[in-house]
Amino acid sequence: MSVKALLTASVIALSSAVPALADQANDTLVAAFNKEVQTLDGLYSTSRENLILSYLTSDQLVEIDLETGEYVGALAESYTWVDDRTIDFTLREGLQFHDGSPVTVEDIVYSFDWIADENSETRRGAFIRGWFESAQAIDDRTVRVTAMNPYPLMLRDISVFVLTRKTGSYVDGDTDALTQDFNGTGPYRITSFDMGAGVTLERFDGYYEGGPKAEGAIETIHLRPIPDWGTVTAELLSGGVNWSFNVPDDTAQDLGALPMVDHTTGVSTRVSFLVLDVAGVTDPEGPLTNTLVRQALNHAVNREEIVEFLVGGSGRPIHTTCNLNMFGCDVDVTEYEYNPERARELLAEAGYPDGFEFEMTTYRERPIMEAVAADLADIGVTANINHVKLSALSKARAEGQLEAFQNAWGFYATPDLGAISNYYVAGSNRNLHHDADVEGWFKAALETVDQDEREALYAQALTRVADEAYLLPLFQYSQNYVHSVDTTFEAPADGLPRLNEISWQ
Amino acid sequence: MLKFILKRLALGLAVAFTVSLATFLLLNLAADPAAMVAGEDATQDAIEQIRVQFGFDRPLYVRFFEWLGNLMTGDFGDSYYWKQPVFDLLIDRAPVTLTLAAGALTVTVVVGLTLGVLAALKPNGWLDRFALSFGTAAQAVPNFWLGLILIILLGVMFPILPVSGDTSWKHFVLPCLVLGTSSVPQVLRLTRTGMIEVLGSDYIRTARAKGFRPRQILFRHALRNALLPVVSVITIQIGYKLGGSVITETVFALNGLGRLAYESILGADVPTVQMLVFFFALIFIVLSILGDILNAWLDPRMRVE
Repeated sequence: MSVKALLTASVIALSSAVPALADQANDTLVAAFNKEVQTLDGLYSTSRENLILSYLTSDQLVEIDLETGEYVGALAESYTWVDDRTIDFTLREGLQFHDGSPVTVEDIVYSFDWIADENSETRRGAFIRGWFESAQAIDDRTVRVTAMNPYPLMLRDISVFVLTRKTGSYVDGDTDALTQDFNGTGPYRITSFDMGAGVTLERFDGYYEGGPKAEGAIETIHLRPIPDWGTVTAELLSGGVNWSFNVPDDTAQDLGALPMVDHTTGVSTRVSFLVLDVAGVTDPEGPLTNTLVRQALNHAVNREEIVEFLVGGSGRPIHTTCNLNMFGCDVDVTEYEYNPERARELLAEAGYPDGFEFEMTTYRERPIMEAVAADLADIGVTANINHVKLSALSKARAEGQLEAFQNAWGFYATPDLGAISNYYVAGSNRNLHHDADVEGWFKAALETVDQDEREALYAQALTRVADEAYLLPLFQYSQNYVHSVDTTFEAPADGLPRLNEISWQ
Repeated sequence: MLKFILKRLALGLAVAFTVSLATFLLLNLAADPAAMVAGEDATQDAIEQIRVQFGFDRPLYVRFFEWLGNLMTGDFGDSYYWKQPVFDLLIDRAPVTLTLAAGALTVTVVVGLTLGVLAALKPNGWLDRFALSFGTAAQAVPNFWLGLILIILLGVMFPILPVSGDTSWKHFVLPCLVLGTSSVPQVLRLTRTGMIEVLGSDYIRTARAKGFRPRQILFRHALRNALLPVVSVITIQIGYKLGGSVITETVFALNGLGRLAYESILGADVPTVQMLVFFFALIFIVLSILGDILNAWLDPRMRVE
């Protein structure tokens, strides 16, 4: 073979290596995930990637309407509160699993019982075991779910944690039965799964009409794990990927400036805050037990600048550990504006004119935590950052060793203050204020379904927490999405992207 | 010789045990594995459930010896994160890493040897200077950067190769170039130095005087002798290629052992991380023992303590 022929053959061979493009012609959307999907069964993973996948493949009895905050029927055509701890759900007619078998009331009962069973070892069971008493088939379309006590987040828990599974899915208690081979009810069914290569989904033609979830607009969705943002960028530019999420702000902005990529930013329910050792668990005489000191710390942090320069996108400063769109959060509480001068006065008044030193244990967004420490240093307070893995922080927190620790709570995308109760109720190692009143108000709010009463209880609690500066609220996160310009995508209000709503331009 | 081999094997086993113990302690003492498995928003109840479910509530020594005992019987344990036997995960991912390592080693050997020999033919000539400059650059450039530059050049600007993935041999071209280039400088310099030394030796001068052709002298007489130290380096490079592919596999989204390690560490998958560290350590131990045995076989003086 001559050199010329060899070169020609090489060029032809290499040209054929160009990957099949993810585009409208193939009606295939390729979504890049930063992490791999490790199981198809959403009951056994609560990673964000699995939540996105589960939204496509699984349905629950009810779904939240993001515009109204109300829960509307999904698999259930309707639901009725029988009393304050009992709900009757009436199933739609003609519901199908992906294998073509009908969805029955027995399947719903089986799903509840499996998730609530400790032996099932699901990652969602712990959330419903605290209130779930029973699920019973009343007739061939009605299921009655009963709580042990009145519990206001019943519908929330059902919509987030109780994914519907076919009766007998976990034969002989095999918890891995659906890990590789999945049968669900969602608008997309899985056609292939290879952990490294990703998941391929196809629009499910048997999906019911008239429900709150959009039927898939695109025929095929391929979820590809690509861990490196540089590679995701290259794939977006070369047409190998259409959509990605959780993109770092600077990368998202750079990509958005390119003609073939759109950058969309949306809110996240996740909020970042510091928990302070108010109760003196680590040191009964410690400076953080002093209200004036905590108020000084709150005045010292420049939240607006942190959000503008380090969070970016749709992030915003917060003054309570929730965001205003949530139920129970819209309370007019004391806001500590950035005022280092006032902070120094408060410190002097508290008996710390020269400041003090404390350890601040953090596990994410180190640059932001450095900025917080720098603001504190400006008023003479030395915050020694101990940046560790989350698991190390959890361990130290459980052992009561933390003077102050960072937390970023995602609320499981639930727009209800009740979802962050473990920072306020008694017995939780995340609660370092030990204020019996606040603990009581939060507990009471979890034991009544009267929304007005709950709202009043939360208002009392949040007001006290802010007045006493039990915490140091920082900011609400931003969520960055990038997508090819030939697709339409709207950032969701709860931070959970719905790929079934994406369509071609 | 048998005594020598047995001693080396015993030493290798001791190293393997130490590595396993150190890995186990680091993984379990540095953090709370139950909290890591449970995730960021897990409630205390959920964390405690996982602690009991996965047996993290049992004493460390019980868990370590249970792991060791299972390993002896060929049971590598089950992954918490991937919900699969660790053995299946390793078998599933190994072909990609082996392909990558083989391709990268080919790049290293072909480029390193060729440039090394060419450089030695005329020391300080333009080819020598080019080879040394290339070697310096290859050593200085980080893998991830070279990978991204090649992706931009050959995947985006001139799209003749796929950017990422591992579904065809074409997907391996860029990663093999990246991983292979990083160890070219060692092979290049060692070959060059060896060749310069050998080409200046008396027996080569004699061969020239006897009228052998330059090609015969170069390949039959000089290169064979110059290659002996290079072979040892290449043996160790096999280990580096197998164990050091984490960044390359991550950048190119290759579904190999390196990426398995990366994801498992992020997911706090203690059984998988433990097994991967043990596996990579074992590769180095086996290669070192093989190297020692090979050297002892070639040079009997090394068998004497």
